[in-house]
Amino acid sequence: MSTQLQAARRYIEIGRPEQALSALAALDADEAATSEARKLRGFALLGVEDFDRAAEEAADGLEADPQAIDLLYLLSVAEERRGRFEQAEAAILAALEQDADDVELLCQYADVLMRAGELRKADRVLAAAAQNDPDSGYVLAGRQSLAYLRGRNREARRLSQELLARDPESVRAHRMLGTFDLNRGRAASAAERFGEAVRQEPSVDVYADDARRARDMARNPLWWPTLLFNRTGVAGSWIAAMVIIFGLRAAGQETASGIAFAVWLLLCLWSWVVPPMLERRGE
Amino acid sequence: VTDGRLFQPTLTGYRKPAGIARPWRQSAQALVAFVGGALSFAIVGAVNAHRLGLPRSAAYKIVAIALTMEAVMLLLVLGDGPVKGPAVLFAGTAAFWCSQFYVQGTPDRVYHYFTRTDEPYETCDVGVLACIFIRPIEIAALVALAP
Repeated sequence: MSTQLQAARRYIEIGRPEQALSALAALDADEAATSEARKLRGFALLGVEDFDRAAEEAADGLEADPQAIDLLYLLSVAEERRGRFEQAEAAILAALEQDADDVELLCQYADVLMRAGELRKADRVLAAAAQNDPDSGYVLAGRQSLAYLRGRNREARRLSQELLARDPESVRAHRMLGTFDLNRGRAASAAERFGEAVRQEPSVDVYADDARRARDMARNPLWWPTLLFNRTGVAGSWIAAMVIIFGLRAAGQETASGIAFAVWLLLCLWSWVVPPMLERRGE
Repeated sequence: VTDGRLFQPTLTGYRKPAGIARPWRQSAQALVAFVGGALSFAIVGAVNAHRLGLPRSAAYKIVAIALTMEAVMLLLVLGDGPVKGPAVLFAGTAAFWCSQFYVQGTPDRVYHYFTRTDEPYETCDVGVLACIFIRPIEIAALVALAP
């Protein structure tokens, strides 16, 4: 393998896709057309979120070698990110035809299914992956996503902490815990979590955007009523409002009940109208 | 892996979310139910189901639930029972929200989890319009029906 290919592989491993693409650009025409070069270029393009070109690279590579599992995997990931789930499934199933026990392939299939909302089948695929390798980090990450998508927040939080115990720099775990913090109105803690994700992967814009948004929410007082509302949750705030308003009314405190109702209604309207305005201003 | 069916394609003919516009927040829809009533909620919920890429049956479910709840609330308000006014409004809104969460909860989570944009939701302007224009019609109908 040429020095450029080795360098590109290393850059991809350490999360520097731009440098990998630069290294690959220095290859001569023959070497650039090899399956290995196409694969590395495809993964680097995934890293810079150019999913169309990543899919093209994989498809071109597969013309020469239709059975290449790495390229089928790459094609599946790229098509998934383009929102072409049918094609993503076809590619990963073609890879699984050759190696049905590969945990990484199974977890990629589960990811495609989750994105398309097929959560039951995703669960079955992850169970099959876990049979093959119960300690796999891919399976754990898949289970974390699935738990969150099913609304099992406690389980998702536990699995995130498990991920962090294995890898204290896990971006996935930090982002998930940051999301939980944000959903519970703890913007400062969420900003720290998202900031950790930015430190690990500074090239991903969406991580930086999340961190900035959480920081704004923690600092800007216009966000605070919404954070208070988030802290109790929609159902929780609803129940609390009913208990307070009707409790005061039952106790004969008609005026206090009216004030509580007005305050709660204002809080609702605030959380409806103000956050989108702040978001627009942030953009 | 023993289950051969696991590797049968599931996503053939998968319908992508409409992509015309971003969906609305679940909490914004709950507020539409509270401020705008059942008809506003039915419109916003059905359009949002389309935006999330759900099949038409999901939109029909939302409309059916909203209309049923509206009928129940009307009966309670107009009847001689002990449950009246604000209690019906609160309970009705909670029921709307639960039903909408039942239909849209998981698709909304999937959408939100995998969307890589800073603000994945649209401002619920339609909800505001529905509250302004449709709620008065509902109230007028209620007044007309009242004994």
